[in-house]
Amino acid sequence: MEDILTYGFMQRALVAGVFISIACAILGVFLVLKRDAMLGHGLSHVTFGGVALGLFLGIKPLLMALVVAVFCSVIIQKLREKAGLYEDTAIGIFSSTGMAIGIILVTLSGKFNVDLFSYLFGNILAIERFEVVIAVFLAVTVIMVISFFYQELLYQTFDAEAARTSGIRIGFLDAVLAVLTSITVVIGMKVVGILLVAALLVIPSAAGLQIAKTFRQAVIISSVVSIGSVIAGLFAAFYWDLPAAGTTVVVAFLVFLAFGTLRILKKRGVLE
Amino acid sequence: MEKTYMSKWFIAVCISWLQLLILIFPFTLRAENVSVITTIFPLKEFAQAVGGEQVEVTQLLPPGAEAHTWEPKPSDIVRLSRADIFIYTGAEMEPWVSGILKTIENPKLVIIEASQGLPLLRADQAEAIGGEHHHSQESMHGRFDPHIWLNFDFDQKIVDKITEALSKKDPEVILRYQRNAEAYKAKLRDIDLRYLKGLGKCDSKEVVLGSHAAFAYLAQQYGLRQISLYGISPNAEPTPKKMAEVIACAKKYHAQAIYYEELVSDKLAKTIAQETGAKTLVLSTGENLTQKQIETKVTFLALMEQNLENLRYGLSCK
Repeated sequence: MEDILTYGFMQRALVAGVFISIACAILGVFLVLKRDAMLGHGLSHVTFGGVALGLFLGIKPLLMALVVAVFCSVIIQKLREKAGLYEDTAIGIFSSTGMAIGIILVTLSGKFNVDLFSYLFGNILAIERFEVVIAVFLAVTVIMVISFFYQELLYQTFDAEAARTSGIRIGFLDAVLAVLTSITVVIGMKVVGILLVAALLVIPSAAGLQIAKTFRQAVIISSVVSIGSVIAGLFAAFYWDLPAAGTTVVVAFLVFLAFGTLRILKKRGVLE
Repeated sequence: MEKTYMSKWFIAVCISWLQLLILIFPFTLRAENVSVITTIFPLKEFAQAVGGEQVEVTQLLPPGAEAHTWEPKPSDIVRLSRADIFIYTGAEMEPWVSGILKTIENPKLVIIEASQGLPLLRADQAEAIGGEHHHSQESMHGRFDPHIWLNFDFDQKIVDKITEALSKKDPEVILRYQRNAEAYKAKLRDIDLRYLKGLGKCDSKEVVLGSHAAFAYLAQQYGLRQISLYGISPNAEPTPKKMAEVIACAKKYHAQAIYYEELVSDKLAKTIAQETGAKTLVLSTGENLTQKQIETKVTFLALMEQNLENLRYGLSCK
């Protein structure tokens, strides 16, 4: 028990992991309710294209990835409004095209010095000090922006039509969420790795929504589940000698399973 | 209207023919020289050393690519179907080779599998040399350790194989091939001796790797032990426990350097080094080069020299 925290890499993994998980959980509740749960996953593919483009043009790859992800996330939202496509279709189009362009650029330039994937995907066990700071900064930004637009976001998440008629800028709010999600995906990918960030954007929120009675509760329960999964996942991985990211995702899934079962039992009147 | 439509078609057809010609033309031109294609960089250097200027050696892997995960482009298949000799390491290193060899039709192609006939280490043996702890899940990835070129004795045998194949293709200059081969083998023997001497008296025998266990053959040859974060496969993930173990080992053996490979991110090595106060240094497999190294014409032997120097620093050798 005591030796896990004597390692600097475990301390950094815990701190950065916790803050990234908060950002993911809060955004995740909105995304899941708006049926945008795949946005994180889709954007991670788009990011691959962005990194490749950055390397190709000689611009900082992560910056380029961020720009491309933000741009695509806004376009995905617009496509739904203008082209009458469902969001999942728009995500499907952009994630595959992003990957495709990435693969072509990798081959075209043919001079990447480091395996693109190891460049692209951070590892929760190899977090640097400044990345911990970035993770904290990310969580603070997400919390601040979301609480600033909280009432409007809430309204439009549950009843977009009513919100629109009452004068709320739906398009703008969608864009705010999309931009926050892209920033979270890019930073999360670099710091803790893509598997973890994509999972934390969906599973804890889905778990929270199983048992929450109000929206505020959902946000809080999701954050707790998310934080708990990261901590429990890291500890379990340490003691049972398992890969950290994979274990964390499975822990989150088990929580979801438990909450889902609880909900079913409640519905059937087995539990009070 | 009809006319412009037709002319558009005509132009399209012309362009596609032109593209086809461009694709084929350079290869038809070079038919006279013996053309050799290799997968990884050491094999390219060996073939070039034996063949000299008259033999044209190309490497399939582009700079920075990693042999396990790389896949051929259509133009690579075209090149292969026009080559005389194809040299690869073995199925464990380049799993995609058997697939492409089936698709090409080239009856004159001589195929050399470099690892054939060499006393290979089984993956689990390699990892036993590797770490203190045996990881059975990881050794399932491949049956044998494919990093054979990191044994300079094996390299000499591979050079012999290449010499034999070239001599059959081009018997008129057999003497020159043999002379070249002897000269290069002398260099390999020389570097082997220098490793023996340079690594003979060291404070530590433990090579701590912040990457995968690629150096079993080298470790075996010079009585070293590799301690690595994960097994033979470069794509596996380290576990937190393994990280802690490697850090503990690095401290225990006073490792002055944590090694990483050039083509893989150095993040994990840096993390370990930060805990132990060691330096991070490159330990190159030589498998492939970066664009920069290609521009400066780095040789495999030079990379091995650099490795020796870095090893001597990390293990505190006298």
